[in-house]
Amino acid sequence: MASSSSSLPSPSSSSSSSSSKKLVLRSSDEKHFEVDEAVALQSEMIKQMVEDGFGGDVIPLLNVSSNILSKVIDYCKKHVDFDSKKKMDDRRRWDAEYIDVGVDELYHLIMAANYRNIKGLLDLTCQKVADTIKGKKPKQIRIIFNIKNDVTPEGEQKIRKEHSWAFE
Amino acid sequence: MMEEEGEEQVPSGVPSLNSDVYSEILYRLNVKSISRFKSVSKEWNAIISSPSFALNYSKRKPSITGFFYSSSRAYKEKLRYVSIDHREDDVSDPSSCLGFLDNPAILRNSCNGLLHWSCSRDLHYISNPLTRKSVPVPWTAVDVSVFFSSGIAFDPSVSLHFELVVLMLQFQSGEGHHLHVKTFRSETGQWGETKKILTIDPQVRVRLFPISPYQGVYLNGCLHWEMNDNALLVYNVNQESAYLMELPPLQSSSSSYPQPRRRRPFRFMGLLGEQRSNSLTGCLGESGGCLHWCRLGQHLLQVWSLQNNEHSSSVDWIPKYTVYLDALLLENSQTSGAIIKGEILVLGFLHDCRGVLLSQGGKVLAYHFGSNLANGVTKIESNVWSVIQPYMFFPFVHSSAVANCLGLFLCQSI
Repeated sequence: MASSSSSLPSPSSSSSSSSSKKLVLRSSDEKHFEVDEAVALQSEMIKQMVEDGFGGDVIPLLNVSSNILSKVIDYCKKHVDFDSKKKMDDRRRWDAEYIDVGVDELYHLIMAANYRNIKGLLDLTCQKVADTIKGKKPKQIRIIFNIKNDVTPEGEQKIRKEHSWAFE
Repeated sequence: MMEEEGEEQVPSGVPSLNSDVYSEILYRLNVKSISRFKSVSKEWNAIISSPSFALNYSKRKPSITGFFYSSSRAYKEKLRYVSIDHREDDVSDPSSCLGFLDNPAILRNSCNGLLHWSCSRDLHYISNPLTRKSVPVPWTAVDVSVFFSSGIAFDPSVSLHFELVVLMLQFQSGEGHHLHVKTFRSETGQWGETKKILTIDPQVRVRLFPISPYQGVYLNGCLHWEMNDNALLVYNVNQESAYLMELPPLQSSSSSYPQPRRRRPFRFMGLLGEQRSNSLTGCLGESGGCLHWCRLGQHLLQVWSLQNNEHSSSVDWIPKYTVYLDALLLENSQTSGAIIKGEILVLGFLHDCRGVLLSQGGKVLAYHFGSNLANGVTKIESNVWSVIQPYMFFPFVHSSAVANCLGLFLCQSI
């Protein structure tokens, strides 16, 4: 697992204006991340919490580890920048590099994006998975997602018959 | 068996994803992959088969991924399929999708992935060529002598049921012409009652007729037929009401552009409606909830959108694009060759009205308004026709195969 300590955000590394409001996020392994509010608000879930008056305290993210959280914060920070510049080519290039990760990390990113409701990151990660699995056979899909095959042979035959064009 | 398979589930760092996330991933795949992945597991089958998945999937996909055209008459043996969205797989062999038809059948219309066939005087079919399912529609319920027009109302992003709407024109002396409607609903598998929907003033529209009687275009909950006399017949399927509206005005004489060809005098329509002049027919599309109309007169392409006029509380056709195709095609002549010879016809809109498909000299071109570029889509294979005419053109969309609407009822699996 890659060490992400160098990318851990800290108050001193923040380049944004000092007047902007900060939020503290806590990962599942009890690490604290202080980020600009604008960055944290990329997450619809956190936005909702802030709107509901949760702003002052540490926001616990129970099922996101510090490795993944710092990667997610990278994404949110960068996209706050992108949103103010509108350079689509830069954004695409950065996204492509960002998402070039191993299967394990990708799944954790999807879970984090889904749980914290970060639309852009969910788009990016799901598209990456879709690109990976398109054209694959059902058997390969089960291996990739660690899914138990609970379809009976008769059931599979029925699906194959109804959608024979898709298996050609 | 289950225990044995369970051994495959080696504990790993990969967390199990929930069905919301699986859906998010599956929305991004094409229909072929989706259909295949139904056999991954019971959970995946349940996700993909659920109506809400089908509705959301259709909403995210383009409104056209390809089209059928008939290389002679619209008999199934002469059908060809052309893909215009290369992210989707082709309907590789259209005739193989239509094996349920024993007799020669004529393709009459298409709507969001469903096809309307006439087999005989008494029997029509609605089929989904991807799921290879079909529903017989007894045509004996239709009084052929007063048949006026028909269309399929099907939008998989709204409902998984379709309706086949037939309009009939009846004359009553002293009262003029009445339009009646009869609707076949897939939900019940039956025809409904015949209802009067419109009285046509005999003084004004004695010779009202639809240019392509079977090819009602379903958009925004309404079926539309282009009429002679620059009119559009609109039938609201839910409200069961109809009205006529003017199409945008033909090009005025003050224009510096060449004039559209004069309309030929009215002639009796042949059975297939092939005798008409196509030079002024247009196509309908939808973008941002607004109806769009495109017409090509000679080489002048014009697009209008139908918008509410806040001041007069009426609706107006607002010009959106005007393109002189001679100039356009000359600009691109290095790549596309000499393609301005002969008549150009407009076949249909691309997704979200971002462009149109044009038929010209044995080719079909996709012209994009944004880039002002045209690219070739196909060369037609035909011994008989040199140009695809609008009535030989049937747009198709893959996404409704997921809706598998014909599987919900009356299914006749092949």
